[in-house]
Amino acid sequence: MGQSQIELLAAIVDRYDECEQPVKPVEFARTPTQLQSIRDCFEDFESKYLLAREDGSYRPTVTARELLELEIEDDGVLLLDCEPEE
Amino acid sequence: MVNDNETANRNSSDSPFTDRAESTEINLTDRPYNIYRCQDCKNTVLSLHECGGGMTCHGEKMEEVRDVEMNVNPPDLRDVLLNVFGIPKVGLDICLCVIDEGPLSPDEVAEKLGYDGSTIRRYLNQLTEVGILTKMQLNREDGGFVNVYRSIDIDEMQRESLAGFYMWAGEAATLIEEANLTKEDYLDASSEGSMNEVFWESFQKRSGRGDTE
Repeated sequence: MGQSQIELLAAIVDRYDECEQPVKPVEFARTPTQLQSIRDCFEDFESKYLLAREDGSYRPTVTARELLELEIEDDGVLLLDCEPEE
Repeated sequence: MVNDNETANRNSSDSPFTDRAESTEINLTDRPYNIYRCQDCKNTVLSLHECGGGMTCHGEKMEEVRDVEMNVNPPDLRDVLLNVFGIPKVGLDICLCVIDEGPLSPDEVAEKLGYDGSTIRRYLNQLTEVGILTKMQLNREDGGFVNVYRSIDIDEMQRESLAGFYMWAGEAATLIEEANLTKEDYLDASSEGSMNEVFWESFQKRSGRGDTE
């Protein structure tokens, strides 16, 4: 997924800012078969503190916005350690 | 420098190449690099990107080295990364595992590679110290933070790794020169001690090294 995950996250932020309300995976799935992988991505983003769940929908977090500001390169190695050792 | 006969005699007992087949000349003409040697001084230059016209030393054109008589072990990428940059194989595995798969967490990488999460975190810190990765912190809404590890720019990585390797090679070349001078000193000193004792004691003193064992 790599860059496409970052692109999806950017699309979520754009959609949220445009509509000013939480978004759902179904809004980003072009085909029914794509829906499950989009759902998986949303759950993965949530586990990494990039999305927060609100009434069954999701909103991007401060962490997601800060991550996108880093302008990750296409071929860049990227790891997120959400539970770093102090 | 040690004369050729002395070198040949010692190679029979001290050389790491003693178990290898009879030494053959290594042809460098088809290699992707060029080595130049000054015909007046001992300056030797390695060039990875031939720009035409060769190299010069104190205004004179340097001689291109087309073959090497000494047998050389071909380098292995894992050995180079470990010995030059201190990057163990698992460090490379982490980078390769994450490329085009990210963003992954250390625990996800650990699961893919079969390591413990704490091991991956330790190597991430090591890769950061080496300069392969940069580490930043993102704020979490609950007051905590998330560490982000990302690779440095590819062009920068190529420049830095080459410069780092050249530095390592320069240090290695300095050690070789020091070792040769120390042997020369030994030959001049006609010491009663054994070759090994005199050589290593003198070498360690010269290079500022203590016990290396």
